[in-house]
Amino acid sequence: MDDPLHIVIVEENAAKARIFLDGLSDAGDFRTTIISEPTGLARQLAGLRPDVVLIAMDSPNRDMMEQVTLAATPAQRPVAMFVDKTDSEMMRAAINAGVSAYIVDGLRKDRIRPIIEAAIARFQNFSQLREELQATKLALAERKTLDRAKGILMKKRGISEEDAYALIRKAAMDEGKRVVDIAQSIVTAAEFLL
Amino acid sequence: MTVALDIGFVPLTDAASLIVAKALGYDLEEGIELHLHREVSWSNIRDKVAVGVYPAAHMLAPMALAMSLGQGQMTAAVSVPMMLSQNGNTLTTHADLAEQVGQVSNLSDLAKRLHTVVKRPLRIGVPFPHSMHLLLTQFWLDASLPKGKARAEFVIAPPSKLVDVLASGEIDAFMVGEPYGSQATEDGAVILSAACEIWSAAPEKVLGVNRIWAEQNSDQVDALVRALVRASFWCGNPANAEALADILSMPHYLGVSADIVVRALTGHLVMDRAGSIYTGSDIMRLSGMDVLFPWNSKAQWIAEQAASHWGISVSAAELEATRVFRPDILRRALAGMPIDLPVSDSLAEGGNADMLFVKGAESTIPIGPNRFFSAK
Repeated sequence: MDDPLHIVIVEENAAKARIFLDGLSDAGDFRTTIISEPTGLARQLAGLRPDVVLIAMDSPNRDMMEQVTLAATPAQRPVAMFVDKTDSEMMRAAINAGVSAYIVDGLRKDRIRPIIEAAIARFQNFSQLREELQATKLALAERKTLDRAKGILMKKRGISEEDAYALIRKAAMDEGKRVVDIAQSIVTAAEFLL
Repeated sequence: MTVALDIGFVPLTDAASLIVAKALGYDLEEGIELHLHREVSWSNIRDKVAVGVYPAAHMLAPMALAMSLGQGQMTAAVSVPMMLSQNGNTLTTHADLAEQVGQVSNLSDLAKRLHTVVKRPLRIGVPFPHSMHLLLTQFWLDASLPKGKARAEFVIAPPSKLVDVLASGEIDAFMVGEPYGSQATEDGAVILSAACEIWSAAPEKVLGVNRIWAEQNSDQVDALVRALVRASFWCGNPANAEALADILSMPHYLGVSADIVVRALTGHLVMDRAGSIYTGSDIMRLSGMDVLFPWNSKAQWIAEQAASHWGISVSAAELEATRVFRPDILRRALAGMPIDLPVSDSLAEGGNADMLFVKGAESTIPIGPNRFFSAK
């Protein structure tokens, strides 16, 4: 039985480090260490002697890893990015998901693969969540604009909320624009005129 | 039909022509639509160009050569049809060390003083191993300090962490692209020198394109080059400096305040909190054919300086450099535009303190000052 691999996660954001950890718990038993303060990263890693280092692509610390990979002397264990450079599909998948992995030389591919796959899967979920959150935020903002536009019309024209909405919707249809775009023009115009 | 192109950039002032090509619509006029993606690391730029997520990107000049030669973690052939900038870096340190160094009369003196004060090899932060930041610093220290001694250790650190890393004592100074030197002075750091003092015509950022993509999509490469050349003319007009700073400062581009960004653009760097000013028109060059042309002689300089770092022969590096830097693509892209291009692909580098003219296909082309600090 192989010793459990030592995986170091370089991540200052605790929530993001959690995503890595959750992914790893899906993939098997590992020893994990989180580096949340990356100053002197090369020195910290030399002390920890990890088998695998995981860093999110949106972390500025990736460039520091580049030095670690270049600096390896024969006494140190050389580090390479990803398992297998010939596996361009996996490389692309990892890059698109936003994960980078650095692996010491000599580890068997079958031991690494599940780690990277789990990290990719978790990060895909994460970006999906983030996109959904952004979409929700946008929808909320649009809702607010629409409410303001309706309010302006109700006040200026003394009409009901329903009638105000009907007016906006008709204008949108006539001009081939989105309801929220018409609402935005009403709000903008009102800012100038009122 | 308009083709969309995904282009990566790192939030730095020298991404100006990419940002302006998009912001002012030069892209659409050339039949392409730029989708600019801000990246937090040079590693991301390299990896995404290598796997083709970005067909082209804002790139460190030595990175284009390094990744083509298989240096570093990702190998892919890259072509450079044009440069995006010259110079633009500053050597920045913390106030304590600046005070201990005191007044110096020239760059050699600065190297010696730093070495004396620090009493061990200098630790210099640079944003990436394959960078002009590293090569220029090395070139400066090699020419300034006695031979045989270890002169510098390079530490890779992100520019956004500059002030923190300086404060932690991990490094003594940092060679960093604008606006991060200027921004650091706001937090109490001190600019010791602008890198244009080391070489007044140093290649800096390039348009790096995935070579396989470029070979299959020459029309798009040409359109991209034309849009960027036109944008660079706008960037280079001094009357536009403030507007350019405003555009660059927007949160989705640099997100750094315009009054900090504008300093390198107008050639007035604020060096420290006391408000000492360094002025010079070479602090950052974004425009002019001498800047945009992918001179073979500059590629050779990079190859020659980098070869020993990369553990390869100078001749192997020089050979690849001629494959990476591609004046022929620039000539093809600009054919039919009223722009004169130099006849020769090389310049004599480093020996001219004054402006000179080289032969162009139509007329003569002005070449800005091009001098090494060590030149006699």
